Amino acid sequence: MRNDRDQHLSDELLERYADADLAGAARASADRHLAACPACRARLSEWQSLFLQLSALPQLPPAQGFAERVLSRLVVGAAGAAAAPGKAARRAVRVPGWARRLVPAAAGAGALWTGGVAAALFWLYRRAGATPGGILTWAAGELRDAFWGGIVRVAEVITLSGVGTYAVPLLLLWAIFGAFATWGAWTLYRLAGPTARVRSYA
Amino acid sequence: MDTPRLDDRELVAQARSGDEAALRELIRRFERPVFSLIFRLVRHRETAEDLAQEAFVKAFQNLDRFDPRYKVSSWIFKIAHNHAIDHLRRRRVDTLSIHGSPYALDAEEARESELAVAAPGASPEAAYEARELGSAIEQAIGRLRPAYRTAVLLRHVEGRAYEEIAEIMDLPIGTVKTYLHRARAELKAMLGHLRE
Repeated sequence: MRNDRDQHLSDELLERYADADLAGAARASADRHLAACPACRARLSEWQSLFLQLSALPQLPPAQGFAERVLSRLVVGAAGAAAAPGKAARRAVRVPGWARRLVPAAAGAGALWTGGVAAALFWLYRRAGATPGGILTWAAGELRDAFWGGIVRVAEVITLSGVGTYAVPLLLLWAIFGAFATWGAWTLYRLAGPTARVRSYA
Repeated sequence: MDTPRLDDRELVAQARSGDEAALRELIRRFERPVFSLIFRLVRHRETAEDLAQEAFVKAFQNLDRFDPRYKVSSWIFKIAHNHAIDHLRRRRVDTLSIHGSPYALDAEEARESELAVAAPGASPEAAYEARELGSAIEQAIGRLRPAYRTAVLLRHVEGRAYEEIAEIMDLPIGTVKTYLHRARAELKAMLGHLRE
């Protein structure tokens, strides 16, 4: 590992010496040469100085509350992630910050709505003497009528507008295309999103 | 359970069984080295914060894939390094601007993103010198290609063995040594003027 021309230690060997990557006979030989060669000692000190500067670089801390932010991402990303960080959390998707802040309001609204529906059903049951089965049948009938009524209304509007006989198939195609486009956009988001794909590590 | 007394592998086992205290302890142990590595790779504090958080989330989502034959630190560094490199590839970030982040929108943000190295309590002269040297060396590190940068940071700032760096970077040890040799030679050349 010495330069043949001047018998000094090579730069690579000095670098390895400074990095404590030399052992045994190679190290002993380098030690002997360095003891007698001021030029190589000077070159070695350059490497040692560089390594010293590098090792003096500090570890930089993240902002306060880092752990909380990591854990909140886990917990919001998949309910119970902290309790079962393996499989449950793998289903997690990234939730934007503004959506995370809306979670309590949305949960409150959902609870109010559920409570209201339950109270209304109870009132109907007590006051009108309706059975739960009867209420469900009535609600299903109303929904069915509303659905078909809506379709008939849309068809009437299309017919009256004079768009022509191709309007309904075109609207249907447009709806199918919209569904595919939404699915495609979601897939792209999952692929490109920061926490999207979990690669296999270690 | 006294989590600070557990070793890293025991903590991972605890975290797998859903122990939040174990997750917190893992974050506490690795947040600084992971954040430092990512910050020095992407050189933008907010981006580094985000990437470091995501790296921990990924790690915690994959606790059941952790192979106990490896060190926990290697595993977390590997996830963090891959995540930061993925980000750099996506952003195709240039290396370092003269001072501070390549993402900085104005002078103030660039100043904030500079990496301060002066020791707390140092004299003004020492602080200035440390800052000057630190800035120069941070700047030089920022000019290295990301793979060289990672190798140098893991070896010299984190004090990792060649074998561990090879595991983290998913490279043969010989390649790691080559990267380190080239990176150090580049650093030495870039910092040569400071020795004169």
